[in-house]
Amino acid sequence: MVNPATLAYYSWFVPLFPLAGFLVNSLFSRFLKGGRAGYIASLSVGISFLYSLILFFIVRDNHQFAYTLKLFSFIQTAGFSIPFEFLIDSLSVTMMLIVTGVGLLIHVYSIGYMKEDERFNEFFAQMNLFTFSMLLLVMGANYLILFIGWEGVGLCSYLLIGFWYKQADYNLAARKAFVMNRIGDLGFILGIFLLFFTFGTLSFHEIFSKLEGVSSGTLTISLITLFLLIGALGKSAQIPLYTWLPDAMAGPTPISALIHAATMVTAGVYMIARSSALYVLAPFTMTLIVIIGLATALLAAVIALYQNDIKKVLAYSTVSQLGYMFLALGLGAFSSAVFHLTTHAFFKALLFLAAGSVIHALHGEQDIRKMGGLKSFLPYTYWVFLAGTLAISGIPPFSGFFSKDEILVQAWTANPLLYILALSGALLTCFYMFRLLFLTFSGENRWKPFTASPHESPAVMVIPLVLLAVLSFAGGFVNIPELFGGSASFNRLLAPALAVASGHHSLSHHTEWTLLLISLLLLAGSIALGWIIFVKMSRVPGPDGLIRPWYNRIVFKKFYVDEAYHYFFVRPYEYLSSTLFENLERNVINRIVNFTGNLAFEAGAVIRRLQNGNISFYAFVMVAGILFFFILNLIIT
Amino acid sequence: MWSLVLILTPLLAALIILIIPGLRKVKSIALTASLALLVLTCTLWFTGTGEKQYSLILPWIPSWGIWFHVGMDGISFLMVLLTNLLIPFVILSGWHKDIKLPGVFYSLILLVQFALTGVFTAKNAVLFYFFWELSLIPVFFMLFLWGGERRQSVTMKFFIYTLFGSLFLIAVFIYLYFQAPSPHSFEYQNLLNINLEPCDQYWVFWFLLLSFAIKIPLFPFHSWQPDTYTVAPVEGSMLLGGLLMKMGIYAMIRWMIPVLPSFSLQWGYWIMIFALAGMILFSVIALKQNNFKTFIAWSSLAHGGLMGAAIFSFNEYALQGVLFQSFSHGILIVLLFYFAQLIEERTQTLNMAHLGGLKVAAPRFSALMLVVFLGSIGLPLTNGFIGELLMLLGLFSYHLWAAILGGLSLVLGAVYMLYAYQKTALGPANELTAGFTDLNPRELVFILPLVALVLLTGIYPQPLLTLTEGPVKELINLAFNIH
Repeated sequence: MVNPATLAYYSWFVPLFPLAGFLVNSLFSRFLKGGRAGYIASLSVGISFLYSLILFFIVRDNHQFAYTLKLFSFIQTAGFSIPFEFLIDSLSVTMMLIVTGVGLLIHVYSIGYMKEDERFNEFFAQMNLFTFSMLLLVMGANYLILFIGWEGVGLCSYLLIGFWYKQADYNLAARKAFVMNRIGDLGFILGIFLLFFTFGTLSFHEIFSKLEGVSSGTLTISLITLFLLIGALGKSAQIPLYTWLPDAMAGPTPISALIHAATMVTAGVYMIARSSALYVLAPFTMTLIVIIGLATALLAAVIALYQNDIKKVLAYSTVSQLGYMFLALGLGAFSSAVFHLTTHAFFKALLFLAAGSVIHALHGEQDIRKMGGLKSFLPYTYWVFLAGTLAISGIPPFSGFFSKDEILVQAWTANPLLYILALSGALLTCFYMFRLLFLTFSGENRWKPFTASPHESPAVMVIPLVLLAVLSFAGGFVNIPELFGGSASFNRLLAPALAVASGHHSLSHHTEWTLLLISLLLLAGSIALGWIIFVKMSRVPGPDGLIRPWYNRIVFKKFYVDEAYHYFFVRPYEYLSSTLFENLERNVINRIVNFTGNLAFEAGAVIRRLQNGNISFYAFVMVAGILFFFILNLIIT
Repeated sequence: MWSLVLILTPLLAALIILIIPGLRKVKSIALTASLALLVLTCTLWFTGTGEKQYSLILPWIPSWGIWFHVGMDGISFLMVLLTNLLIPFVILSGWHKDIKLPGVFYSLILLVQFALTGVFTAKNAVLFYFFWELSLIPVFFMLFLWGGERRQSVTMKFFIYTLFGSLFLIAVFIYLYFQAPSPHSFEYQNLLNINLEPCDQYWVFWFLLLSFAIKIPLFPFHSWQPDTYTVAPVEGSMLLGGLLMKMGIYAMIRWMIPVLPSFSLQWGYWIMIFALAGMILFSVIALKQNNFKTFIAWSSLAHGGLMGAAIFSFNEYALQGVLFQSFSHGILIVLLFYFAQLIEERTQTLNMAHLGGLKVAAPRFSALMLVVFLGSIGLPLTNGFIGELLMLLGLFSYHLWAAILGGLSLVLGAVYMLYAYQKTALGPANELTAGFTDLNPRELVFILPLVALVLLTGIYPQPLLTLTEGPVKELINLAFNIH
């Protein structure tokens, strides 16, 4: 038996392989013909996945395993001493498994999906770079390494949203994502500074060990957690920084699955879970997280009801599900948040990839109003999409049921009102997902006038879909609660890495069963409603230009948030840019300078009569200076 | 002794070039000399040559306390290293160009190197002033004779403006000479012993500040800069943005704060506000600039604003950050101006509104340009990140608000840089950019080593940080032990 610490020591292999994949795919791109770049990229992530699995078994079998691997001293100056270090514990290994595992499936899928693209190699190079950055993010043992990964995934997100860079609006979406994330990053980095000046270190372990005995609700801890929260809001697309995520759907669909559903956008959730020891000491911030999470979950769910682009529906649903994770975080149920993060990674990656399969089959069509009746043409895609829909809707025994139910129970224990709101969000989710499913796969063929007969995707795309469908179905079984005779093993695995919020009491089984029954009945009702409207009555959403009643229009226009941001921030900023240049710079500052300068010139005109050019003016001044110095010296000595 | 070699070699090379005819020969000699200096500088660094070995005192006008006194600590060395690193690339940037009066042109570049090395090593105020003024002359001629459109008016403005600043410098030094404890001397060590109180002689401080702030330049003394950077030949822009700007930074750290610490403390707050306001203003203005070189100028102004603000937070983090950023910014801006030259050569325009889609025909060009842009906005694992991080850390330890305002550079920098990248490299190609040829080997020889440095010093910044750590600590102790 190999020593666990030795195996953990080699954990730097895990980010190394995707990095190597990136280097090979980008530097030797011209030698990689056919699908080779895709194989290299997938292989490198595959190896990382296998090694992460080994690490997982170590963490599982050694209770409270936490290994810090120090690679080298990154910055060390004036007491600011930051090593480049990785932390291997249950939380980071869980995230590594998601990143490399789901990532691997998406890489393989992309080999098929991106086959025709002329920049196939570049795509895989950037995918590998993303995986590398994401691994830095989840493996970093201090806040600065986490931040490096954090910014790195932001860059990759920017690159891949704008992958098809010839389209102007895609570039705009990419830029919007990067800038909004940077707003969050400003908060994040301020939080990092405050952490450093408070604790003298940025290492997770050192900071958390200094927290013992710190009283709850101090201003410093509140500020730190608020600053970090701003970062998380940007990265995980929460109110008010969520509008970039739906636009990010401009990227190729595998990117939406990998970056904008399964991994990167959950980084904020990971970061707060990682900082749970801080957050349990900040009740104000926790309350704020609950409010933001719940509000985001509901707002995005309502918006999703009226979206007609298959990817946009899924994007808003991602925002909404992230809201649930934040709700869990705010309630102090950190492991529930990570659990939902995990199951969400499965089913949302699945849904996106399945949507990609639909889009692929319809030659790029994304409007669900032009789909319908695809069930018989895309049987595999249909079944896996159904699995994903059942999972996200929280239908037992699919994975989403377990993770969402945990959050709902937590909400009930905190406040029944929270439960009601969270449950209504879940019902909305169920409704808009079945709306999406029915409009895409059931009913009449509405694609006929637009595209040729659709065909099922090749095996290289279908196999990852099936595997993800299995995970979406069975992923919840890793954390079966006591209620069903399970032992909540996932929560117990994570427990050593997460702090426990005080004041949690468990519900009686009677209450839990009652709540469960209510929610299941309502879910069934909402599916039935969807079926009646979209299958039985064959309703199809109206065209964009349709005149809608005001309450409909507001939702259809996504509450005009994008417009408001544009009107209040983007336009004034652009206006300032021109007007400051024209008015302040040209007309004020430059005029003052030129006026002063002209005075000097007029003074210089006298000299110019004696000398013969401007250079000599300079010489004159030099000489004058020296003379001045002479005279002073004479006077004083 | 080594300082003297470092100072005189460029001068010697400049003189040789003046006599020797022939474009090729001139360039070869200039490049060889500058490369030899770079190798020497690196060797000195790696062999760990100590401060003592750089020190040299020769009498000049001893009766007035004017000595030819040079020496180098880590801060000076970093600046000299940057100078000697960049000059070969400045020379290389015009390798393929047919330059009129090549002998004069390249000897002017080497004269700048001579003057800069002098500025960064001088330990006597008059000597410092001599080199400070000297640096202006070759740049003036480069701009005046080889500049682009409107060069005469722009050059004159630049010249008068910066000269105006320098006038005060000598006045202040003379005043300080008489304030310094007896025996009067212009020696740096002597000036450090002056104990002036802010209430009486605040003009001394403002004059000193003015001359240095114009050089960087800081808001509101910047109006000479965008036009000058734009009109200058690309070598001149590189020298100005990469090196001459650092003179102002260096002078503030070396000749202002330790000499007049109490003034700096008293007024630093206001200067910081101005510098940060300038940074924000420049970033906002940069967004809508369409000329690629003017755009670089504004972005450089924004960086300078943050560096200026960080200097006045007076702590080790900030000063380390400023010095590191000086080094990084030098490399990045030389690369940026090189990209500007490549674009202008291939499309005959610098107007970004007419560009777009360079990535279609020139993916390598665009990828490398993106790395440099990302370095400029301080993305982690590029050199820009380290400096910005430490500066913001320093600002934070000064005041939360300073860090928030300074931190806006993270956001605003991304706004204008990525917009510029989109305008040039992304989108569909047009008739102007469709035939854009990708980088050739000669151009890669220029770009790759510098880009490698951008990444290398971003991933492993420690050697540079170690270089300046001791001297920075010493400087701060020196400045504040007095009180």
